[in-house]
Amino acid sequence: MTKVSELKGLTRTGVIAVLTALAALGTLLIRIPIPATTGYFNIGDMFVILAGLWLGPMGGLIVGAVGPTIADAIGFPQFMLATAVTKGIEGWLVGLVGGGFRSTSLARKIAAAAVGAATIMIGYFVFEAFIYPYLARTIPFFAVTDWAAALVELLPNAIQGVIGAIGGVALWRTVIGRSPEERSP
Amino acid sequence: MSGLLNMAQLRPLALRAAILVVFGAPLWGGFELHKTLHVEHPFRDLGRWVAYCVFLYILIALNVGIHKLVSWVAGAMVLALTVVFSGGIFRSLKIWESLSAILPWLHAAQASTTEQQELDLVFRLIMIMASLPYMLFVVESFPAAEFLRDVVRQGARRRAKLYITLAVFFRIFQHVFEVVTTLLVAWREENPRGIAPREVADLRGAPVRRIAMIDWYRQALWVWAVALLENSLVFVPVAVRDWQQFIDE
Repeated sequence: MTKVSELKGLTRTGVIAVLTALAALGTLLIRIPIPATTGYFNIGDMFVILAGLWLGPMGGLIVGAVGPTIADAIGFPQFMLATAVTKGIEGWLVGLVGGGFRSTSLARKIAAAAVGAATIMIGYFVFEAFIYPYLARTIPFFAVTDWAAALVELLPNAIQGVIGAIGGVALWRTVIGRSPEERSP
Repeated sequence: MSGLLNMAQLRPLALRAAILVVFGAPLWGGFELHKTLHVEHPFRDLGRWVAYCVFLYILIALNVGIHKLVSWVAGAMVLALTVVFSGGIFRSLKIWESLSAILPWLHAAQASTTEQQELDLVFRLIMIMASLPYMLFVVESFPAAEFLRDVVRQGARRRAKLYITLAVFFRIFQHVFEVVTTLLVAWREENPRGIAPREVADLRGAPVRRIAMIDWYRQALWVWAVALLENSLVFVPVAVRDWQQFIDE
């Protein structure tokens, strides 16, 4: 491996570490409780979507699967499995559709972020309505959701997904997505 | 670490990790313990959590020193107040009740009472006050330099690469956690409105002001997210250069 590619690899690792930590902190720190459910809104998805848009599928997958799962470990350990899988797939799909760093098309990035938002809704619904009740038959630890709860969570998850998608694209535009002409004063 | 104890020096690594997991076990299982809170005797139930929080603070202070603990607790306090006030404001907007009138299945899911919800917010406040400093302590208990020493000991090239990648990842991960405590306090000074009780009380009964509050949240969160991202990313080239120098030597 040449020195340049080693440096590139380390830099990429560094950026993934930053976004993973931010996804964890965004999920953990800005928790706006939803009174009617045990869930909460958070802005961690902004950083997962940003990771997919910027780094591509693998970066999105790592940031999505690791960052928010660390946050769930504190206070919401039952949701770690659902979060790791759902948000990992979210980051991966956003990266796949968005084209990573090779693409700077805003329309493509918006479409990718929309796919990410839909993934959150569908992913958590599948886990809460089907997978967790199934697992709870043998492992009581997962007996936290059912059909009714999954339906209730659809709305907050949709709002969170939309906020995450808008925030993710806006962050990408602000930090990465502008051309040099746009950046200059 | 600059306290009387030094968790970062404890070996083997697995023992250190096990001790930290055991001390933090109530935080990992917090969701289940939350179900044991009862409105009939809130002080008794919450008192256990306060006692546990004090225990964690003593442990942290003995390891990292009182000054670092105070800065971490300051960050946790800002965060906890933000979350609790956000929850209170969100509830006072009665969005959920309005939606329940249209979507009956939402109403069916509202099992908790107002008292239970208030207790829940206080619980979250204590939970954040305990968990954030402890999380920072756990991160600091595994210094990246330790990985570095292991890299030197490792002869196998493939394994060394893995360690270097992990060490860079972990060092930068640690840096972001260092940045966030500083930024939380700065953010509180820049944006006092959302977490100052007097200002929140002013919003009662004024729908227009409530909309303005949502806009305030949007702006405050945005500024915070961008500041955090920029202050974190700026460290990446510095860290990578330092690691590269080490590898070269």
